[in-house]
Amino acid sequence: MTFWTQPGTAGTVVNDAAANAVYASSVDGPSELPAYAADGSATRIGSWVLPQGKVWSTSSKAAVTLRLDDPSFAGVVRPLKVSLAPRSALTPVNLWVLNQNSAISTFYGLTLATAKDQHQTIETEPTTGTFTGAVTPGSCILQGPSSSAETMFKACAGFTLSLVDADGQIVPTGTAVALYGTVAGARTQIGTWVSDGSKVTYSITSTEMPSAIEPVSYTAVDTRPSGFSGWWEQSVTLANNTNGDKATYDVAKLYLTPVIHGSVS
Amino acid sequence: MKRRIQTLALACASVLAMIVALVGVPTSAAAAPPDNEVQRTANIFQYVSDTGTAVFPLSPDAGTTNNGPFWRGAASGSSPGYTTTET
Repeated sequence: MTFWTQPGTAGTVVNDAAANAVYASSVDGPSELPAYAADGSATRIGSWVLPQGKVWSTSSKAAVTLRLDDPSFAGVVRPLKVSLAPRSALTPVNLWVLNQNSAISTFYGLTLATAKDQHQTIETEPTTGTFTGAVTPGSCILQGPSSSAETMFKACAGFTLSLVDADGQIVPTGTAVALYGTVAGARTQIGTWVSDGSKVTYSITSTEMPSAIEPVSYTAVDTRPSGFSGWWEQSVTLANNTNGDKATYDVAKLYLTPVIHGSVS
Repeated sequence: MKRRIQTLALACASVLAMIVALVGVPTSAAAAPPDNEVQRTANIFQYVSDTGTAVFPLSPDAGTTNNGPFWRGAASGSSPGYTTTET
């Protein structure tokens, strides 16, 4: 079994004949190949952990594992190609021979959207404002006109921005959450947070500037078009997708910091 | 002379027939690598979890069908992947 990948950008085919393509064989190693982001960089972002030795078609344990160095990486990962044929057969003139007894599989790692903490300051009260979140969208398979599979592997544009309550539950879109601040030394509700799915709006109704404001938690959940499980675009070939486990999205915080200007004496 | 040419032609035809019998007719031998490759590509997608890992099973029972996506492609020798009907 032969594995290979190659640095490159999203949408470009992994070319087994390219000088910067990296190979491994399950028979004589290596046991890992570098994983690349589809941004053209040749710097690894993780590794593809590969099976070793002969991989029997009846094995129920053989697997390839994509392991990212940064678990919160979001974006497009260059695909990994796999063939039952030895590397020596992986040449364009021999591909038609491969077709007689083997196939090339392409493994795509789809990343989830990630959200990071975001900060804003307020200088007046009462006041309103919005956060759009510090979100990096995940990746998905999108429809494309090309006949090349890789050209349909793109960054995913769709996600829903949602507030998360103290119990870690996602707050339904449009439902207000209390905004607390410290006023005269006491924890006081001074306004509300609410998300419309694409942005979080805060509204501070207090006429007294709080000394501190409690952050609110939020998350960004992919909204990929799918009739199957929601993790990938299903308009391609449903039967060729594999199930993933239940996804867990990171929760980040939105911080509002009151700015107290110089006091008048 | 004519007989010699006929014999030579017959010998060439026999050798060609033997080659075709052994390896089959190359239906797309001259196609460019990308298109050629896609025609026989099985594609497996899996999201990368919050732990930064994704496991792609290779076994025949893994995946969404009884004949898993990887081995199905390998066993059939045909194109289980994209049919490129997207618009």
